[in-house]
Amino acid sequence: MLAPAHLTGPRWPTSRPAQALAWAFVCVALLCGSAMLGASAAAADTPPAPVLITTDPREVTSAAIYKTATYVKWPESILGSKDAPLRIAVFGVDPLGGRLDDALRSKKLGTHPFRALRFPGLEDLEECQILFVPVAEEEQMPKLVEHYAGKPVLIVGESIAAAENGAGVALYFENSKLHVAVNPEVLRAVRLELSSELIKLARVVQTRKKVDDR
Amino acid sequence: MSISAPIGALFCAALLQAPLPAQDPPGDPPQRDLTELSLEELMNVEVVVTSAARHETSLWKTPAAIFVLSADEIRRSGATSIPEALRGVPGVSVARLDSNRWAVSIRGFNGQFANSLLVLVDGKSVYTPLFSGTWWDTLDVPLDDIERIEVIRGPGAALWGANAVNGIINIITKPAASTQGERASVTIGTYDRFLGYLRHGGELEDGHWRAWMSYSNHGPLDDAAGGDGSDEWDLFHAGFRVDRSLTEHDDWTLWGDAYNGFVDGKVDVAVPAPQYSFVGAAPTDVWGANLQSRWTHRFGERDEASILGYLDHQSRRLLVFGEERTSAGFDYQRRQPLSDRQDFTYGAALRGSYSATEDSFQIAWRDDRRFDSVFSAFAQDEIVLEPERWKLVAGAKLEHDDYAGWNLQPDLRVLYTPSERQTWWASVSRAVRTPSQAEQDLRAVFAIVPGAPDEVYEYIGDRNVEPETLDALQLGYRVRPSEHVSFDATVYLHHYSDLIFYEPGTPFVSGTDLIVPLTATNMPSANAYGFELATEWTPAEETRLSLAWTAQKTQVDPRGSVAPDVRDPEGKTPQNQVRLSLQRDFDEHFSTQCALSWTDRLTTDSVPAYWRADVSLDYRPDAQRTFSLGLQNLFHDDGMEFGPSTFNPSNRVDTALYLRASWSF
Repeated sequence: MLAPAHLTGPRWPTSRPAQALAWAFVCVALLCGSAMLGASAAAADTPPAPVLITTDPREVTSAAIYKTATYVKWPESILGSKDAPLRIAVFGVDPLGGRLDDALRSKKLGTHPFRALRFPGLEDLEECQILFVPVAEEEQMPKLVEHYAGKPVLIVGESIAAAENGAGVALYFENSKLHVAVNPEVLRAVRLELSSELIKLARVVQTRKKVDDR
Repeated sequence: MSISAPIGALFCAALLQAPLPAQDPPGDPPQRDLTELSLEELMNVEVVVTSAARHETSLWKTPAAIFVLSADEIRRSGATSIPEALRGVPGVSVARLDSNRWAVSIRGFNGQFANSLLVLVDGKSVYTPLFSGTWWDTLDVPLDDIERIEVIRGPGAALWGANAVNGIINIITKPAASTQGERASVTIGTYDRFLGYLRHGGELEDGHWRAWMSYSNHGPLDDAAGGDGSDEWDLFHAGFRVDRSLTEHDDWTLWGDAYNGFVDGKVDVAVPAPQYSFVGAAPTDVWGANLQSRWTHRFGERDEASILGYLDHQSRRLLVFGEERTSAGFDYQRRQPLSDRQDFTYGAALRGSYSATEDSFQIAWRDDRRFDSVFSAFAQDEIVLEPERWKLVAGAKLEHDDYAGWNLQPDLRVLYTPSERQTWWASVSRAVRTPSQAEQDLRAVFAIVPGAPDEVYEYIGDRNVEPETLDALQLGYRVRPSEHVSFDATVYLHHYSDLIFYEPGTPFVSGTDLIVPLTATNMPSANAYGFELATEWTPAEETRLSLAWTAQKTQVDPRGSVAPDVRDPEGKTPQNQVRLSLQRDFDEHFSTQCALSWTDRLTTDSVPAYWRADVSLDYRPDAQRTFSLGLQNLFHDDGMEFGPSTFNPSNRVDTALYLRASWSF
């Protein structure tokens, strides 16, 4: 038979390897401690925020649509009464799911709450302040531009091509990061002005001339 | 569990005393709120995955069979533990043995002591060298703090080292900046009697911190005969994390936690006359604590170094077994661009582990003190052969283990992206599994047959066993035919050699007994092949359907092996698993997830095929509060998911109902 039971409680290392391990403990504790002290000394300058990561680009796009709305200088006449909502619509099949609703929930621009809308097709288009056109719906861009011609509606696309074809702002991904493009010509046409803070971060593009414009 | 009542009361009191949310939310929403970032910060958010390349890379262009379970998917799944959350990952086999034990594996070799899977938390291994596996009961990372779980199927040894044989599960927790303000959550259910969680996050001059505590109390399941399964358990857990930006180029993180719990169970006891064998109670006391620190320095773009140091202590004591294990280690990693087209990553790691084990009437260890050290070095080069088209990843890890000696684990991968919507990848890899302490040192009686003399059947470990080797060939294809549909398919062929099986040896007389030994021996080889498919379809706004199908088969070539082995790779893993899941947001307040899965039969222990459904419904009246109702394991009430393991019987898994309230303020 095997050795009898001897449950004797914890026993602590006395051998050489175990002592080596004890030293390792001390080293790690010192590493942690010195980093903490060093940190206090080095904390004088305000460093940039840590790089955040996500596995869902749709969350980033949704947050960026909300942010874009806050960078537009909306004339009060467009928004109407004090508590009238700022309407952000998604055209076609919505790739963002409920993420846009999440991003806009409980948010306000001054006194105006946000409202997320869906316009599934051209026949469903209604009044809105921002129209988000997913990349899959970009073919409809000319019709959308025509529909809202002369109205202060900001069309937000998902590619450089969208900004070249009628979107005032494009939110697109390159190298796993969000980028922004603006088309000042389009913005002038819809009489909307963006804050310089956004323009500073954005790539400026021009409207692509159609072949029959020559 | 005498402490459950006061702790439950503490949680309830904390929740009740929480201030009512104002109309305009002052605190942070439950998950990381990207809308709180400036546009500039948003433009710095990376859409990434880490495990496959050991530095962040885009998921779609990873030359490995990878799946990422996001925090949102974990929350929607209604899972109340990490193994239950892993049921939602294509290609992962999860079977519940009883209230506190799970068999979790990838590509076969499943069992309570599954030993071909490497589990990491924030890049630090949590496997125990005792049986080269994971204690799932004490892997109690709060689900609220998890940012994502990355699961890689197939070997990842070139980067992560020995035991990353059939797959890697990397649990990544949220940075402290994403868990600011207070959060409390309480779950009450028929099986999960009480799960409570409290967290506070705050700002530092140069960073953020959080501290949390949790208490969980789980009820028993029924045993195979319908009686009390004696497997209830509870765990008290507390932890913290501090993230600081020391300078513009240096980040430092310190995190740690400690737990203490009681885990009940049963054990098959083999003793001399007159009982010979009976099922005994095996109440287990567990406690542990760990501390980790990581320092990252950025030299420039794609150019950084990090060093991780850690200490870890685990204690587990029951009638037939006791272990105190202390581990410490360092892990250094450097990433450096060699040119515009080449990223070079290399590093070295040292880990020491000291284990004090206790013998009992049923088991004996060769030495009751044992120290193991592992040294490893790795290098990997990512070469862009043609931008946006061809990429080659070549890497290798050299590892030295006190008992297994030197091992080289090379890995070669090719990635081809013919278009933005398609990716092909292929890989050839070698991985080794080093023998566990049990396979080397343990003698355990598993049966006594009365007679004159009594025949005592024993598993006997052997220090001469060699590491097992896996040579793997994989081919993968991902395609997005439209913006709404995606497919991810992988086929693989694994060849295992020198598998460690327990083979019958020559019986010998010891005292008044005849010992019949089963000795750990490198004998059989095995071939495993399979197909893994994960598809996703978003037919309409706010609706997501996903379908996963995994087919696998393992064939053992005995090569003289005569005994069916305890690991039994052919009969303990389902040949087919299918899972269909639907996520739907009804409006801004209500959302649901329903998952229906089918698991093939297990030939060992004749576990029949079964259907299982899990449903959860969330109601979010505002950004601060979420109320959830969950139903787990519909259609398979009182069913077995896995047969008994070597020393423990399995229990029946009940249908369970729970209610959860979460509050951020």
